[in-house]
Amino acid sequence: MTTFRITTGLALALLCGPLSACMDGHSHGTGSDNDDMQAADLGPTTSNTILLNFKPRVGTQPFACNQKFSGVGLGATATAEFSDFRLYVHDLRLVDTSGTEVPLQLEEDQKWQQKTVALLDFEDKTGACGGTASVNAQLRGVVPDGSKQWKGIRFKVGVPFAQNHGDAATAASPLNLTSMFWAWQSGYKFLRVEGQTTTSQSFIVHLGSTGCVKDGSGQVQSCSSPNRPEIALDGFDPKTQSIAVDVAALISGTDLGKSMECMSSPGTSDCGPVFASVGLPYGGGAAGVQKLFRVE
Amino acid sequence: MRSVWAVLLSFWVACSSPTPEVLPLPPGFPPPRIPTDNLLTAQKVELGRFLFYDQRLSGNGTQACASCHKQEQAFTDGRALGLGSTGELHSRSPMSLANVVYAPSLTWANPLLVSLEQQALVPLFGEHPVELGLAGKEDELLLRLRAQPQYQRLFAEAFPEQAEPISLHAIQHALSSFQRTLVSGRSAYDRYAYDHDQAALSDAAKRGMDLFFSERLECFHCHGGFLFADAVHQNTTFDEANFHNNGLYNLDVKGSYPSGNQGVYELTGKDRDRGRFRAPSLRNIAVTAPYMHDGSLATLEDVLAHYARGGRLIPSGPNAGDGARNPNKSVFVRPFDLSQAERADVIEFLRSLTDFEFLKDPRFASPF
Repeated sequence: MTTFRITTGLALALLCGPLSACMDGHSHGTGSDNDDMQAADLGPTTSNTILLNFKPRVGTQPFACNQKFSGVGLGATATAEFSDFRLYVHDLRLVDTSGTEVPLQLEEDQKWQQKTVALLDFEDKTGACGGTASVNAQLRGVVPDGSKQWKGIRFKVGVPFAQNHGDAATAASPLNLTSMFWAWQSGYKFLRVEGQTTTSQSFIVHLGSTGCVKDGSGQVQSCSSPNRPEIALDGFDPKTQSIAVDVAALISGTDLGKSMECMSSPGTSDCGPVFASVGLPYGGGAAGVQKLFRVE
Repeated sequence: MRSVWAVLLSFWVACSSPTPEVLPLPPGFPPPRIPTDNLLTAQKVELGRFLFYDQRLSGNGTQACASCHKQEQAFTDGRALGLGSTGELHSRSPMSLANVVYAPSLTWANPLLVSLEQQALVPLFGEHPVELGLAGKEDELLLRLRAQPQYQRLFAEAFPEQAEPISLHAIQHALSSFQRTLVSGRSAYDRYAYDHDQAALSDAAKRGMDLFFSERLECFHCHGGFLFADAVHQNTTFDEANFHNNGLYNLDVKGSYPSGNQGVYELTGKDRDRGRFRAPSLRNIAVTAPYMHDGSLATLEDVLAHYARGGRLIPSGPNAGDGARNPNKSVFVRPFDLSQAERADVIEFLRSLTDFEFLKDPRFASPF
C-alpha cells in the first residue's frame, strides 16, 4: 500500500490550505501537548469493544524508569537503568476459536491511537527517562462481534508503510512526537529502548525501516528492510489476560559489558541479538522466534 | 562546461517563479525549483532568518542553526566535525548552505533527504548525534517562541492563513525559505564568466581554470555546472543525485570507510555504496576548510595532493589502507602529475570562486 504519499500530502495541504478542516491536522501535528492533552472521549464501550492490556516488564518485574534492574544483558550479568521504552503497533488481529484472524479496529483518540497505528509508551519521564509524563499501556478497539471467544492475537510492531514516510511535522498524534521522528532515515523509530548499565555502558535500540529508496518524484517507494516484526501470541484472551512486553528479553543476547547501539542499519554487529529477540532476520541469517512479547 | 544530468524524472516539485525581489539571481543562474506548498515570500524569508540565528532553537538554548553555519565562512564553521548543543561531536563536517536551493539532495550522503523542509527535522530533532537537541521538546520550543511578541508578529505575517501560526510546520517552512535565498554567484570567476570582465581573473587563475576543466585532472566530472556540483533547477528534466567514492579510505577488501561514517552505505547497506558521498559545490571553497565529509584534509593543497595521488594512503593506525585502491572509487579519481606551479594555479582558480559579497550580505546576517 502506498496510498499516502508525500506528494499526496503536499497536494492536499495545498488544495485545502484555507479550509478549516485542514487546520485541525496542523494543530495536532504541531502543538503536541501530549503531557497535558487528555485523550478525546472515546464514548462508551459496547459489547464489541476490546481492551488490550499491555504490561511492561524487565524479566518478571514491572518496568519502571528511575530504578535499577539486575540480571540483564547477555549472561544476565549487568545491572541497568532504562531511559526509554516506547513502541508503535499496528495491524492488530484477534484469533477466534476457529483460527480465523479478525481485524481489531483501533478507535481514534487524538492522542495514543489512530485507526491504523497506536503508541505504547511505558516511560513516564522520571529518572533518566526523558520522554513524556503520560504513559499508555492499554489499546482500545472494536471487532464486528464481541461475543466471540478468542484464543490468540497477531499484530505488527511499527508504523504502517503508508504512514511511515509522510510529513512528520504535520502528522497527527501519536505520529507527532519528535523523539520518535527518524528524519535521516525518512520514517519513525518503531521501537525505542535506551538505558545505561551501572558500569556506564549505554545501550540504544532504535528499530525502524532501513534501505529505503525514493522514486523520481521524491516519495519513498520501498524499503529493503521494513523491520516490522509480526507478532503471534497463542492462548491469549483479552478479557482475562495481558500482553507482557519484556525489555530484558529484548537485550538478553546483548553484551552489556560494552556500549551498544543498534540503529537498525545493516552491518552493525550490535543489531544481531536485538533483531533475533523481535523475530527479525539480520545479516542474511534466518529470523528467530521473538521473545519481546508474551501472554501473561 | 559539461553538465551530466542522468535519468530520474522528477515532477514532484512543481515549478514556480519566485518574485525577483525575494530571490534575485546572479547572471548565469537558472531559476530554482520552489515547492508549490512553500512558495517564497519576503515574510517567510524574514521569519526564517530570525529562526536561523535564534538560540531558542536548541534544547538547552546554547545554539542556533548559525552556530555551525556561519555566514563569513559561507555557512560552514571551520570545524572538521560539527559540535552539537550538548557537546556531542558529529561524525561529519558542517556543509556550506550557499546555493542549497539547487541541491539535488541534502547533507553529505542521504538520497532520502530531498527537501529542505524534511532536512530541517534532522538538526532540530536528531539524536545520533544530538545537534540542536530538541527531540521530545517540541512543546517547549513552541512555548518559547509564542512567548515572544516579535515572533507572534513574524509568524502571523508569514503564515496569515493559519489559526495558530506558530507551529513546527511553520518553523520548517520558514527556515527552508530563508535557506533558499542563500544564493551565491558573484565571485571573481562569475565576473569573468558572466560579466565578461577579463581582468576579474589573474593569469594564474585562468591557467588554473584550464587545468580544472581538463581531462588530465577530471575535476569537472563531479564538480561541473554553474555550481561546480550537481544541481537541479526549473529547467532540469533529469535529476541526478550523484554520490561518489573519492578514495579517501580503504579499510578492507570491501572498500570500507571508518565504521558508522560510510556515506550512502549507512542508508542502503549495499557494499558498493561504501564511501559514497555528495560532491559539494566548490563555490566559496577557499573559506570552507577543512575539507571532505569528515574534515580530514586541512587545506586545498592537501585536497589537490589527495586527488593527484588518486586516493589517500594511510600507512598505519586504525584507518590504515590505500584509498587509491578502493574498489568503489570513482573512475574519475585517478593519479595525475602536476608541477608545483600548476598546483598553485589550480588553487588560485579555486580561490577565485569566493563570493565576498555573499559573505557579508546584510540580507543573510543575524537580525539580532
